[in-house]
Amino acid sequence: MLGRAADNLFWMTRYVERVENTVRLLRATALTALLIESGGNGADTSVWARPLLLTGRMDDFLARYEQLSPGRLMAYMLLDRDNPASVKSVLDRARESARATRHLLTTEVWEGINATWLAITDLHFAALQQQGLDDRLDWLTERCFLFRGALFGSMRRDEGLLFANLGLYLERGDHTARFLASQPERAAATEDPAAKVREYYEGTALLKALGSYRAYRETYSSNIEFPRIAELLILHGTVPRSLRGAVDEVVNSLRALNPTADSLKAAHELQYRLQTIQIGHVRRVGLRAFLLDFSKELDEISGQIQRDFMMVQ
Amino acid sequence: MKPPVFFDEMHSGGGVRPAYERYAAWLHSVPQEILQERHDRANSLFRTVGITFNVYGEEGGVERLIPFDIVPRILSAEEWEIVETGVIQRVEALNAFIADVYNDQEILRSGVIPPELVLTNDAFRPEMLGLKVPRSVYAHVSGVDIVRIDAETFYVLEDNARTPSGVSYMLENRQAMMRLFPDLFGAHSVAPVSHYPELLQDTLRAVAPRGVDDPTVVLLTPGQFNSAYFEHAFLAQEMGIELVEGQDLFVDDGEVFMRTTRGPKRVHVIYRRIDDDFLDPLTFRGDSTIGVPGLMAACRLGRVTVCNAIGSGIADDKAIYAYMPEIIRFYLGREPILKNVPTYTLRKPDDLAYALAHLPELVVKEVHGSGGYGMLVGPAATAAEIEAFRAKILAHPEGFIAQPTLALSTCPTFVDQGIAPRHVDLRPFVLSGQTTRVVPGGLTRVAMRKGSLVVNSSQGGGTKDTWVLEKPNARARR
Repeated sequence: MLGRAADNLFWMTRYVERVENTVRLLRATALTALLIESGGNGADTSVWARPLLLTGRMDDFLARYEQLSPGRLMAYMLLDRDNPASVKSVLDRARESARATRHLLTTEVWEGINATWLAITDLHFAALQQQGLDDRLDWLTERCFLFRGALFGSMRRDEGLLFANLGLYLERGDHTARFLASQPERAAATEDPAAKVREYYEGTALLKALGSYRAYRETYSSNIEFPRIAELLILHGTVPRSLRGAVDEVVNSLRALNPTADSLKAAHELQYRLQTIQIGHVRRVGLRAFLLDFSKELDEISGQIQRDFMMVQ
Repeated sequence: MKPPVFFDEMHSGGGVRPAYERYAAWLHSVPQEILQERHDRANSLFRTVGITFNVYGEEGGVERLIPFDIVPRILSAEEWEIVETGVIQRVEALNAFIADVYNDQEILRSGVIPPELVLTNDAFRPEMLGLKVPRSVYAHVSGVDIVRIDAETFYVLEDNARTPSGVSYMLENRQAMMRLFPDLFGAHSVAPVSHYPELLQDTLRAVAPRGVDDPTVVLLTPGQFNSAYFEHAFLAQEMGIELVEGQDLFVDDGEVFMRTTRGPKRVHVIYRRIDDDFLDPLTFRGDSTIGVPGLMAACRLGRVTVCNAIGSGIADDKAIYAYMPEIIRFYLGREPILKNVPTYTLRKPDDLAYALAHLPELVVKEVHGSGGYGMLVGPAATAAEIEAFRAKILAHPEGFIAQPTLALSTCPTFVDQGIAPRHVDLRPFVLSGQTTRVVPGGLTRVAMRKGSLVVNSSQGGGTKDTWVLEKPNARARR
């Protein structure tokens, strides 16, 4: 297939994944904020800053609005076209990539993504609130699932799908890593009952944001504890949003594309490290440093894929 | 002033015309709400499928839905036969003409056409001189715009031998109609059109360079911001070929390659939807960023076939148009089946004087214009518009032709006020490869504004599904 077409398929799934991740991030933020408020800490707005910090939009946001408020944040992160990280902007790019490879997509995939875009493209925040913010966010998440269902259920199992898969899992691995890295530093295990309650609620919100609450419950019979959450989302390959799971998918797709590609070599190394490392090691290196390092390596693999397959010099 | 009487496809001649009998009975029995509901459904259908076109001149290239009308335009088998034989004859003559002007130039030497009209024409490409193209076909895909003024008379309004578009609407309109009105298709024997992409594929493969048995065919698009991008993607998908942009192709040692995920791959036939001017920056416009450097050279070496051939635009030039009846007689030795609209070529002083004296009655077009841009429809124009246009003509008379305003036929159309007559034309798509063929029907364009004679989508025109009714037992023939 054309290198440019492969590139577009890669970015199409990457952007749709980014839409879903952004929506999940906003839901988790809202949930955490609610818990903190009901926990009696009232006016703590720092939690609302997390989506901006994670997407690197804090400065831009503050340049335009003096104060951070939940409504402004939602409007900015969902529907503001001047914010390249907003759901609307990312969806624009997803649809543009899809449109550029329209001829390689099945009707189900194209019409699915186009219908989602049509529902959002002219939507304003007031109308969104009227429709019910929570309902709309649920709907968006569903549309992303529908997109993947159409993709894996209707597309031919060939190169195109492999590139789509690469985009999906590189984005997912990157998001999980950066999301975990953005969490505030937690003190080591505590016996303070109030802190334990807080750990439970915040941990739950975090797991839900990464769609892994159930996986946690099934894997560990213990309470919700941050070190275990990290272990689950970094090392457990069976969890779809874990780093290990993402890297496994990347390796498999690259192997099917070209067993001698340089990008496969790099992905293999990363996979090997995740297979052999233990969570104790990670903590000794420093969780945040480890995660940011991981994110950087995914970036390099992504660049190498461009050089290996898309005839980019 | 008495309003002019127009031929109506459904109603003329006292009562319902035969091809419409069943349809008219249905239409008159169906409640307005049902029509409105189907109309709305059609719109949402087209939007989801993404059948949009981009409008030039608007900020950011806005995607618009082309208005689709749910009332079909119906032709009987007999009517279609006139159109079919007429357009095939015309395209065969066009191809013979293009082959001649780039080779022996007999038509110029015989004095049938003034040589300067061809040789100094912007659409004439000297780079093509002496080049033998496969099967001597230049215009592989042509769109012939036809209007009707009465039961028997069809006029050719213009020929499109460069990169005619609109065929995807013909196909999608049929898809939509079959979804919206399955019962009507049960009651009518409508000739199918959906195999067009297969015929196109056959056509393109048939003109591969010599010695290539299994050619790689690609569709070359200017990119996703082009007004016809949807069509490019649609056709590429239907034919299962790569949709390429200029940046995806390169020429090496006289051969054309595309950049694939597994390295360079040789390309043999390019169905291009880019104008000559932008095709090869080394030969034509040097500032083109959407072309393929060296393509003309590869073409001259016979290593790649470009469809339509470079320089085929010489055949659809509006100045050449006036000579089409002569061209048909010259190459085919037969009388034209379809009429030409009488045309005043304003480079001729007599014609110019006549036109200037009769502007309010005439349609004046730019010789190189298209898409309904830059034309004057005299009867619909204000005095000020006519005067402004007169100045344009006087400044540059050789840039214009004039034609009498034709009484385009009307067809019942669903508009805000219900069913009302609107003017229509017809563009059948003619394919020339091993043979010259046309699928039954084509694109019917309709001027959605009351009284308007301009059917171009860029000017607010819409489209209809075109039904050609089959003769009993006709299916075996196809």
